[in-house]
Amino acid sequence: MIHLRHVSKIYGSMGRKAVDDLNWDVEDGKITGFIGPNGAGKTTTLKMITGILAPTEGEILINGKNIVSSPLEAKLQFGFVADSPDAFLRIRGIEYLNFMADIYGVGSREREEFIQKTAARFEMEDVLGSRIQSYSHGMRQKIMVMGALIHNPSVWILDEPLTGLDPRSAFELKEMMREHADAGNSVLFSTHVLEVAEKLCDQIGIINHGRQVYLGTLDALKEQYPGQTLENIFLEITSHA
Amino acid sequence: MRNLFRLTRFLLKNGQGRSQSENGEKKRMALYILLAVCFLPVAGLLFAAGQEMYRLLHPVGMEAALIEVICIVGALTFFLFGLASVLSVFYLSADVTMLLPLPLRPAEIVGAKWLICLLQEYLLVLFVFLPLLAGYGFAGQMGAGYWILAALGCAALPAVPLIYGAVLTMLIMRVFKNIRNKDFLSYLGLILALVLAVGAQFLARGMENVQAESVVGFLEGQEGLFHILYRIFPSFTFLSRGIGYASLPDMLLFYVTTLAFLAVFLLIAQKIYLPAALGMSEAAGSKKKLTDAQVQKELKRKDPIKAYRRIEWKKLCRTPVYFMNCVLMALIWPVLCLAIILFSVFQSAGDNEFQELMRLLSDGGLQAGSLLRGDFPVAVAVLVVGCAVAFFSLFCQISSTAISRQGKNFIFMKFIPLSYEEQIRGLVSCGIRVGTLGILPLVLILNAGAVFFGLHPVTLVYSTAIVVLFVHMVNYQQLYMDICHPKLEWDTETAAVKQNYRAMLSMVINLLIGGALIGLGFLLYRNLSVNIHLLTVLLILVLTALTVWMRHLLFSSGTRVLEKLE
Repeated sequence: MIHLRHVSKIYGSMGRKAVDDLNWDVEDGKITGFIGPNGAGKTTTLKMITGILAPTEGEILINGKNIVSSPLEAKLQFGFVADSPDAFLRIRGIEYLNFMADIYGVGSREREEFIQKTAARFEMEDVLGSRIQSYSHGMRQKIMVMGALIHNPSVWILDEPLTGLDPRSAFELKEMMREHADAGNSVLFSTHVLEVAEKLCDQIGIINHGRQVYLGTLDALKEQYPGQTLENIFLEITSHA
Repeated sequence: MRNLFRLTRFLLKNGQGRSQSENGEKKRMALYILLAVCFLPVAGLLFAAGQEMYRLLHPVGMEAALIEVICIVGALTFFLFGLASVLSVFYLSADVTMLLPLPLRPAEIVGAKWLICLLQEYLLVLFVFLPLLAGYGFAGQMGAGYWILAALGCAALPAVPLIYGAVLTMLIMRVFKNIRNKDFLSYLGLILALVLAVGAQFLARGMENVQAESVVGFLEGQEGLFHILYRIFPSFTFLSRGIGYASLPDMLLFYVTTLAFLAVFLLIAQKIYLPAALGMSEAAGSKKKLTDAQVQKELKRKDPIKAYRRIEWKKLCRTPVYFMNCVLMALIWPVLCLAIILFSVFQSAGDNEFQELMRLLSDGGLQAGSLLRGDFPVAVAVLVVGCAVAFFSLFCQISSTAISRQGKNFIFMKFIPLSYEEQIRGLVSCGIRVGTLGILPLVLILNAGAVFFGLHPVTLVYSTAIVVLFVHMVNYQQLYMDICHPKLEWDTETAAVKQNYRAMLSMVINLLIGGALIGLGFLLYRNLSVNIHLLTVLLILVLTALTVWMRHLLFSSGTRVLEKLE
């Protein structure tokens, strides 16, 4: 569960508001899609939720833990996949996973089971002994996803997680997100692909110019704009905001 | 032509990295000025050397020979420095694949990259060759013609050697098609640089006993080094004549030949450079499937801080540019110095004085344990240890670039459930370990040898304390400075370390602190005749206080700054 209360982010001394008064609940048992045009404030919001950026105003709670006042407890609640998978390039895949497991205090048996299961699911068994540098973009994305989820967090936060994944891996990840949400956990992910949001999300949040312009289910949104596609609805909402 | 200059400007800006703060440009400028001020003493020394050499050679009418020497030494220097520069700009940067789809002529891409290399070489021109020529000009009270032609000469001085370096590099890359991966190239460059550095050191030591006449003969004889070099760089005859005799026609000829070289270079380079650069890979990518036993072995649970330190260590050792600049230099220089000292000892084993000393020792006429008795040898040992630790700490850049090296992956530090204090501890311990490992064995080996000759054994304790404390203090200070001013925006790893002027500033501060402490101790010992043991204990106490203060600064203020860093 993620709670955002009156969250704002102001950059620089000129006072440019990148995120303006967000009030949002990412509920357990649901996949929440976070959509918005480029520069709308999606990544800034995700960075504030994960503690990378400090909110200028407001409060962010993850499973009841405040990311500002209790950062370590809050950080243990989620797994985060950043938008760029080009990290730890000279580290071997298995070393990266082991490192993440150490950082999150995962037991030896649990990490081994997780790696065997997800490596098979993502078809990564053959490359775990190679350096991440030699991986393709999609493989890098998959190893980052595996690293983020190795401690079995109840909250998943993923910034554009499907970018670069082959159809099979994208399918597997979507399946994993569904299974995780169905088990009563929360999944929050940002995407530009409206079809993905349409097929996968239980609720969506739309953000434009740093302001939240919609939060709710897709069905409720479609009821407000009868006969229109999600693409048209999105364009209309973001052009009026 | 317009595209060429636009592209050069863009590549230059791209290589600098953007500033994090709004007044970053002003800070960057202030930093450049400060670094320029730091280099001024070197330039001043070279200026004085130019003046002195003119005064020495003028009475025998040989002053123009000095210009010949400066020009040809310049050619050789720019050729050698150019190799590294070309390798970095032409082959190790990742921009070629971005540039090729743009509507640019191949010659414009090659030309822009060559111009970047040329601009990088101007630092050497500014702080080394210009002061030498200026010293020469002032001593000779030269007219306006000399100054204009010297400035023109300096502007084009690195051009041809750089072309030679670029062509040589491109031919090597063309021939060795199968080894074109960036990591391999970096390691190759590292080995070459080491061989050159070690070779130069031993050559310099070996030359000590060579007669001056034979050196002059080697350099200036009919088949001397200078004649060979002038044959390799024919246009430099015009350059030395142009400056030495203030001859405008010669300078014009130098420019015409340089432009001709450039035209031929651009013609050749666009044919041989681009195909080779496009075939470059980051690293050899082979699939390595692990057996169950290997997986089990890898997946051992570790303490989070240990795991953090281990991963940082792996990144340092597996990234060629980090390994070279942060780890290897800190470890290799002390070893090299020890090798030179031992080489000198063995070399002097044939000297009469040394043989006489050994005869006295074996006859029992002189007790080995009595040679270095007394306070003065202790003072010398403490001074040498202080200087050594201050000097060698310059080569360890682990802590001064610890945050900068994270680059865009800095966000990782922010979202993992490891406190900033713990992360700082993991980062700083790498620098402390390498720093200590680099210097302490050298200091202890030399001091243990000296104890055999009578040096007070407590010097070993003093040396250990000074080294350990100074290394700790330096690493705390360097990491604190990097936390306060990290260079996080970079495209190549080289920019995080080698082109990180903030890290250089940090090293200058270390040197100043070390210099101040050593200077203070030296003055107290010489002028006030304070007992050396008391003085050393006092120095250790001051160093302890500074180290504790730096540690407190790093773990309190540093943690807060890191927390707010976005």
